[in-house]
Amino acid sequence: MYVRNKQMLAAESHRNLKRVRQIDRQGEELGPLRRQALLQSPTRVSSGFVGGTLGSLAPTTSSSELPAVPGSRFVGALPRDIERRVTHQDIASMVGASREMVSRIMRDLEVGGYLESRGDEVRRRLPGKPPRSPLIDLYERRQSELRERLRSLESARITSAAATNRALLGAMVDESWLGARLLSRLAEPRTASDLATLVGEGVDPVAVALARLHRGGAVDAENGRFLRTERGTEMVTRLQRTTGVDLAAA
Amino acid sequence: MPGAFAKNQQKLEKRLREQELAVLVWGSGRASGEHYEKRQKIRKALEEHFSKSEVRFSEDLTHLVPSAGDVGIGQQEEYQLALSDTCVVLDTSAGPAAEIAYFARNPLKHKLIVFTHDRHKGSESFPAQLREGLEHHFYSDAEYASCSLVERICDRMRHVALGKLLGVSPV
Repeated sequence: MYVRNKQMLAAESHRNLKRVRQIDRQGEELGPLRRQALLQSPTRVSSGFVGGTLGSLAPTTSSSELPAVPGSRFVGALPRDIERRVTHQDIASMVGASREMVSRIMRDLEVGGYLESRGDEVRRRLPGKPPRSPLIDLYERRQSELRERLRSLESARITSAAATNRALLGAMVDESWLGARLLSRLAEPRTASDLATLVGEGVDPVAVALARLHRGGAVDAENGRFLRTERGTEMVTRLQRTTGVDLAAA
Repeated sequence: MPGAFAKNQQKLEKRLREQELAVLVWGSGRASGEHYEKRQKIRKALEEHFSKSEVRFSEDLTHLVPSAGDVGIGQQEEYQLALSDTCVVLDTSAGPAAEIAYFARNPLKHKLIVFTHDRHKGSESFPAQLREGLEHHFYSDAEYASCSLVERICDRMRHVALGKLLGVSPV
């Protein structure tokens, strides 16, 4: 606890003043180091004050020596021009808690942004809401970017699936249902020319339809032979079931 | 057996025509004259070909959107697009171009079938890049003037109908 105002010198008790002067005298005799040691000694140099050779800073009273405000647990009203730091111990005494608990809570409040500590000064932030951390901004920005990327990926996935499905459906229905007819004949591996003969079409349109079916995931090719995939089989089955048409006869 | 072959194909086609399709047709508004007429022709042709389909313009569907007065046109159209099976976009003026740009990154964009004049084919402009992920077709002046554009749209709609019949999605 420190006092900065020389005017308080006059208000101090004669006893204390004498003690301060005594220290000063001893200090002059013993040198500056000893004087400092005396000033910091646990002797009750109550209401230590500035003045003379002591400089502008000196230990002040402990809180218990301050006049209490009647009816209050708060330690008393200090003169306006005295700035006094309230210690964690003071607060602990005020609220009836341990100093450790007060220190912990003060630290939590500071971390949470409810209090701000600058040197000896503790300020309360109002309203009691933590300040917006730049980390939160960064986090939210990244979250938003990620959401946008996921949306974009989802969109790309749907678009890609739609393109595959369109290739398959187009191949099945175009050219007089050529793809559907080919699929129905691909339960076993066949060459394009075999298939062309089977469906009674030219090799070129059959090759084009097979390429589209392959893009649609309905046909696989190996060693110049084509075979329908699981998906191709599923399409044929569904079409026959929903329409009642025997595609092999179409 | 050509008889059985034709009969089976007719049966398949009939099933496609009977699919209940909900189709949107976006394009120029009433004030644009011929482009609006083309939209109407497309609507008529689709409704004739697919007897159980419902082909609508966005501007006629605001009553379908809940709280339409509280949301913007973009959200209203997104709602309509979500309800539809597919959307034919005649890319003939600033209005549909803005709709394409608005939905270019939307997960529903796969429902758009965009028809653009072939003078824009091969363009590397910003509008062309926006259309890259979309199903994009080009038409010539001759196609636009004749019925062939409408026929192409009907053909494309058969794919959508087959997808619906077979439960294949998205298309």
